[in-house]
Amino acid sequence: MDFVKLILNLDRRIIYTIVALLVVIPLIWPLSLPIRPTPEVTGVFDEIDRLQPGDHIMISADFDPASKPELLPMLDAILAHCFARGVKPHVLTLWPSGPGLAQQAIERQAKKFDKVSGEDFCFLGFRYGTVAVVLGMVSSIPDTFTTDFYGKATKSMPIYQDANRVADMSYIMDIAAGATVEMWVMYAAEPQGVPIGASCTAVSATGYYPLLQANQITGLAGGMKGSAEYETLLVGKYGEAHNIPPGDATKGMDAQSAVHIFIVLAIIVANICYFISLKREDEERRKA
Amino acid sequence: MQFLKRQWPIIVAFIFGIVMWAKYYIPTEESQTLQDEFMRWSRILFGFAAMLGLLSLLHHHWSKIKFKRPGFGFSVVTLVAFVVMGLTGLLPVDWHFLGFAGQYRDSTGPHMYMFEYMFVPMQATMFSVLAFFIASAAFRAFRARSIEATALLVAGCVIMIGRVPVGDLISFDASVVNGYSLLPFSQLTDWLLNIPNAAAQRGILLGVMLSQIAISVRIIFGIERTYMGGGD
Repeated sequence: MDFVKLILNLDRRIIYTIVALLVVIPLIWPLSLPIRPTPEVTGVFDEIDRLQPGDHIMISADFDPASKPELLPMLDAILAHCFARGVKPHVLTLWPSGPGLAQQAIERQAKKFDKVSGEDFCFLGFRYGTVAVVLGMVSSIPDTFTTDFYGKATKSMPIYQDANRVADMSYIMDIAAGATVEMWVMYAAEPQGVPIGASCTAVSATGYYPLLQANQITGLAGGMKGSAEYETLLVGKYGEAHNIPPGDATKGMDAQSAVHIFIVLAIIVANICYFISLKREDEERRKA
Repeated sequence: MQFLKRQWPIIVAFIFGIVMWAKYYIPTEESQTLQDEFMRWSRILFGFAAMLGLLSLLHHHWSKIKFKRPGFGFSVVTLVAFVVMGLTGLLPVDWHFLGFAGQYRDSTGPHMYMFEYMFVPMQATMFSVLAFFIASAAFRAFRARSIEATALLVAGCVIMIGRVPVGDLISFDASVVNGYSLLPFSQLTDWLLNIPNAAAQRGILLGVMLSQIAISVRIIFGIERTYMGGGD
């Protein structure tokens, strides 16, 4: 069998094996490729970085385990950034399978920065109702989430004595695997005049560029690359002072680079072979 | 009965639709209180909808098991998982007797243990498999057969390289001669995302929003009735 036929009839298991190796090898032996933060991600980082100690931020962790590699590092990085700055995060999720991941991140970061639940942060957990929940929080967070994730009454918490509705937040951050960003913009950020940033999966990032260009969101961190850029900015500014190491997204970028390069090369080679085969068929037809 | 099934939902949709629309033009405390009250009702209704979904799920899988339909074994797994996850998540029991360190809401309890070590890996695996399928499908089906397909192929390849660190390395370091990048993947990616992509997305977004307004008006005035089920 010649090379062209071999490529065009390549067993898919060979492609799967190459992809698996290209994911695993860079994770074991990292290449540490440099990560350049884009203006989109800097737009989120700078907004959170300008917040003063004691300011409040609302973080909506609207994703599930399917998007964990892309979005959980972003939640970790933003929480670390907030705690390093002394900003008080109010974390919630509008996805039923979201609380478990958010709980891991918030407990991990709170323990690291020695923060107290109900005073320095609040993990509200999940409430059913999406738009109704957001509109409820526009009026009152303790009325919408009467208890936090751990079952403690929110109304008596010190954190809700000086900030108890969306308008009292200095920033909103939606880390979304679905279409919740538009909803946060329409029902919370725009009407209440609170700036909002977004983090989303790579496939949905393209859909938020109109919001970004209209300044309806201050920044956008798309996919694992966006999370890695945020981690780079965070480590660059607070890494030494607060002992923040590069996160999981940064570690995953080498593998993503390798697989992307492979796919592009595979597409180019397959197309060259395709056109050669077309030419051969044409010549054979002419001879016949 | 016919009134409750056909006319009553239309009346309710009309009244609540008009009130919630008018609320935006009446910026008073009373109107805000009314909205808060409606949102409270809405959250309760969402709770009932979720309950209905759970009952529907249970009914579907129970019927499959009862009549031993093909693949009923999966339904057994679904129901067992449903009961076990539900019980460990809802019952305020101290699970130390089973060897767990925490209670039902703790990250060291059995519910979170199963979430972390069963649910997360399974769902993440399902999603990760996509990478293999996409690689294989791109290799087999992504062909420059027409001008449109070629444009898509070129844009796709540029963005795939431009959105990873190796693309930055090529664009800003490896291919720079006299201050100019010979392979500006990252710059081209920015252009593709900010100009053609944003233009197309803006059009799609406006179309979707206008359609939403049209559908909302049709529902409020009882023209669109498919939400009640059973066709128009």
